[in-house]
Amino acid sequence: MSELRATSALAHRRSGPDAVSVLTPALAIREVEGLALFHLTADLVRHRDLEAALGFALPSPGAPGGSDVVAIWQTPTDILLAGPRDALAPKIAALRAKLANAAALLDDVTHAMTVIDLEGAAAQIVCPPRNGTSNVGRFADLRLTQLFLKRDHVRLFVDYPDADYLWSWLEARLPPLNAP
Amino acid sequence: MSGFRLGHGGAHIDRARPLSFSFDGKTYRGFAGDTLTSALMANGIAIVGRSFKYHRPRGIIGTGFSETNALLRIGEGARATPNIPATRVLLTEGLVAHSQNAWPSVNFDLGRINDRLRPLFAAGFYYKTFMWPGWRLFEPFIRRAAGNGRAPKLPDPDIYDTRERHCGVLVVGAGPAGLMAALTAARTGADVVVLEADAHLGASLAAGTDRIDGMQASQWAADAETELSARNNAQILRRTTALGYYDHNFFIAVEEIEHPGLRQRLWKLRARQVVLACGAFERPVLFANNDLPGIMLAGAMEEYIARHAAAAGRAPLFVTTNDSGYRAAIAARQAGLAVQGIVDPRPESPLAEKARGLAIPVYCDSVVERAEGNACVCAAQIAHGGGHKTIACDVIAMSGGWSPAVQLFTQSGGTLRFAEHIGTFVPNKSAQAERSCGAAAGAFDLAEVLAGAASAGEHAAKDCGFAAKPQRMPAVETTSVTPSFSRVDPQGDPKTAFVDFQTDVTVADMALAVRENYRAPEHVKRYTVWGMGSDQGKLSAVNGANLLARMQGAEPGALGTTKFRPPFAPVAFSTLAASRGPLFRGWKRLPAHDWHVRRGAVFEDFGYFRPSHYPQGGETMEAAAAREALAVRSGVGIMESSSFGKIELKGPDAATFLDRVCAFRHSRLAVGTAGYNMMLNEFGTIIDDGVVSRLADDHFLITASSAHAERIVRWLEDWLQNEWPLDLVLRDVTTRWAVLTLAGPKAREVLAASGCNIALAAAHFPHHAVRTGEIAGVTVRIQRVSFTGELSYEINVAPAYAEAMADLLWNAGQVFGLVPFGLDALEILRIEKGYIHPGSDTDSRTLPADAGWTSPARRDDDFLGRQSLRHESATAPGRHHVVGFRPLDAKAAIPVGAHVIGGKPHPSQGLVTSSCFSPTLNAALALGLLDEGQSRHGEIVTLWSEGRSWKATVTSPRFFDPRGDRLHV
Repeated sequence: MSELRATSALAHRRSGPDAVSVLTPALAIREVEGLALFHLTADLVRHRDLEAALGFALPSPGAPGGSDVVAIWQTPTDILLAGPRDALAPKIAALRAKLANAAALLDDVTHAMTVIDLEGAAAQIVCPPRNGTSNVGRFADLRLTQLFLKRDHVRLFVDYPDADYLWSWLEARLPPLNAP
Repeated sequence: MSGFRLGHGGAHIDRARPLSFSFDGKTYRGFAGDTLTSALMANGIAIVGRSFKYHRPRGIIGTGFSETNALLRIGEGARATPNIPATRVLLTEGLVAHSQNAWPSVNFDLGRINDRLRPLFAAGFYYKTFMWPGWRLFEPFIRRAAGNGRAPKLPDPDIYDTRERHCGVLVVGAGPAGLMAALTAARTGADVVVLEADAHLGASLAAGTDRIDGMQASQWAADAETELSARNNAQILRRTTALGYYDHNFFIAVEEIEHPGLRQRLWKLRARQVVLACGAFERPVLFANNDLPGIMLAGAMEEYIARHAAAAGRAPLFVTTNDSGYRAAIAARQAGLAVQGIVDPRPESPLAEKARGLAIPVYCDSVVERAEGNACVCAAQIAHGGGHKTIACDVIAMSGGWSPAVQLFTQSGGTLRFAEHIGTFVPNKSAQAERSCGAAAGAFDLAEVLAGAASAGEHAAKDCGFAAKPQRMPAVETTSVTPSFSRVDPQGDPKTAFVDFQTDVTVADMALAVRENYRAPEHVKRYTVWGMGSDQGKLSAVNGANLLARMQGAEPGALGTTKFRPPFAPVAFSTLAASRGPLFRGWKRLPAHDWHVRRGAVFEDFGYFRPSHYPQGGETMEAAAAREALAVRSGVGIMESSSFGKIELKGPDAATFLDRVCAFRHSRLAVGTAGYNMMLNEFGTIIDDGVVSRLADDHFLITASSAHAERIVRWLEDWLQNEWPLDLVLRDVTTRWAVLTLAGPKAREVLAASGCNIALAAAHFPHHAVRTGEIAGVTVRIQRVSFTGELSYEINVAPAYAEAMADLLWNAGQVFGLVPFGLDALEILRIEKGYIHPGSDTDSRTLPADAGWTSPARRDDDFLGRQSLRHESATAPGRHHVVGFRPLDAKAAIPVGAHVIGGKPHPSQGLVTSSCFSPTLNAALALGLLDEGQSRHGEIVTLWSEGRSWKATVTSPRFFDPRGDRLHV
């Protein structure tokens, strides 16, 4: 058990211990806590057997795999895994077993990324879906992963150093979104 | 012009909601639903601006985008926006508008003198006149006089939104064709977006008396709008103008918004299929003085009457080359105006009898030769029946035919063909998944328009994967007829027959250009500025092209027209930039950012906000950096190095790959050790340096400089994916790890006091080693490497723990005098040690040997750059070597960029690349590149920069601890 306390990338925006959020009629922006995140880098074409370890099909561009634990395609060799730590742990263990001595990297990035939810009618205005229900791309020189949970609910994954800018950018979108 | 408000009608205005506005400081009244032009017209305002070059008075000529004269400054102070077509401005309470390009007033403008000095301002005048005694003498005055409107000097207080939208079928325009296409596509289930520049849908249907399915056409448009609005697979964007049509069916469009603080919204749209239903522009007729206030487009006059009950005058004369002029004249007569006649060059029109039946004189086989009047038109001289006749009038409404709005079509790459029967260019071949329909495709008969649009909508939906259900075509009852067209030569004095109203280009200017052998439309455009105004030739392009063809005896189709470029309509830069203010560029925060804030850091923006120094008690930057550097040399300092690039490689072939891409053979590294790394390109020049650590047999970590990290990752990926299909993966883990660096003789004590569970003694953890362990229960990866020349530990930890870890180390280090140090101190420390910064201390020619590293050239295996290192040029005379400079005046720091002067054949022998004042050595130091520098140690050279010079001794770049003893303690 760590003696040190992990600090949210958005901690400076908090007024108390709770995760930061901004609620408006058009859009609610919320920092999401409690998700475990892992980053897998491997030759996914060669390692189709990873599907057995995951328990679901490997993701493809725009088509995430899984449900409770979700796997999001990042590049032809990269997957982001997200879910409750308890649900994720056995899958990670199985993946490690499969990838022992293989050309693969599997890292816990829970404390290296920030997760932000957008909920409301304007969610898909801010993050227009392209093809499918996930998307990864560069935006303002940061790498942004989008997971479309529902029509009005988008989950964003961003690297820790980029979270502050992304939050500022989202907040700046609120006045126009709430305009007629 | 004696414009006034009709006592009845006006489909778009609400007479129960009066509004007040001001124009040139005077208050007027209008109604909700008015445009600024309809309100000005209804208030009898005749002159709304002055022309660009000759300052001739100009009045309202059109509606929508066809307005080239009424360019006004809207708003005041920071919100003042110049050059807004008044036709595009919806009237609001308190709106403030000003005319432009006139002094002292728009009604009496001293600039009109230019009209009298016309010979000086002929086409291409800036190549011919004002040459004596010198163009430079006149240029400032001409430049000051040139241009329309003035940009506001205050910062823009508004915000601008941006949105993206992907859709199946994008329909541009919501006139009859656009509505029909959108309805047809939407009914199949396709995802449809409709862009309409106007606030109202229906376009020409609002003004006409046509009937569709037994109802007023305007009601049919309203029903179509209701149906589209109710569908969840259709979206209508009103007051949204498509500005540009780019590859892969990508559009940008701007939406006008009436909301405090939010002015415009930029839409980025990508469609699988596009239907262009942009309508057509009516063309002016070319005759002398055709620019007088009171002369306007016939369709515009009809539209103002129908939509706004605004009449441009009481006694209009219509001049037309086609039947639509008759329709406008009949509408004016039915609105109660005393129509003075219709002048038509054709022998007869199918609508002539109807006009005569309404007591409108029809002058067939006739043309207008000249308009009479000074500030406003008061009469027209026509050629009729072999003689001349003057007809008094207060408006001349002209229709020279209709030109499809092909601007977006040509932007998409589509080609045009000339349609002789309507005297203009129409879409020929599409270059993208696009269909044009309605007037935009050259169809003007309403039934034909609706049928063509339905077909376009159906096929667009089908190409999106949606099958159209059979649908009944609406029954159409129309008074419109297919516009027969008669080409008319310009009449009267060519010097006052204007082709382009906005840029003051006349028939005479075009003739002059042709006489001077400008033939191609694009050449004539540049010589005369025809079509170069903010309207981009919407009214003038086709008239000009026809005129050019006639002057050259060529067919217009063979000569072509000018290229229409985006934007379709003027747009504010702020809108294009989506004006994010300080958010225009992304920033990155160091994981322990708030810890640095608490320590009083001054930040600099390097992409990451990084502490440059931590001033105490009013210290200057130099003093703080010197204090911090001394503390690291004598005690211990802490800095955050999280932005340094970090790349992991893992796989059986990782070592092989590294040996190929690095200048040193890292496969020899033992697990748990690290080595200096240098990366070269194919030319052998240094592109970056850092450290390679071996974490396991098949697992390596490369560090890269912050500025080069992304480029190095791409570089490695490129070689791995495209050149050497080896069995490994690599990943940029820069943001995966935060890095806190302890540096200084007491670094080990601080780390030990932090509770680190790694054995830290030099025997167990020597310089250039890497270990994994825990501090306070948190996993850390520690590299013993140094960029300061001191005992140094780089503590890698998950970013979320960086701040807490910094606190822990800070507390542990207090008894050892731990100080935070920033980039300025680091710069001093690394210059003292002669550690180069690739890109700063090297250039695009610097080889490892030039920086003192000879071992790469001796490697016997292959790696990137090896061939170049072995080429004779790598050791040829005249190479720039990395050296040190010590000024003879030890206190005189030499600026970066200072040149070593006195060389031959070039005066510069090299330059200073890094410089500092070393508090440790109490002397100014510099690194630089110098011709043959490695053989010139001890030589005294002269350095020069911006008028100052210094004498300095050339030295080894290792100023401090040259053997590196302090690294190995």
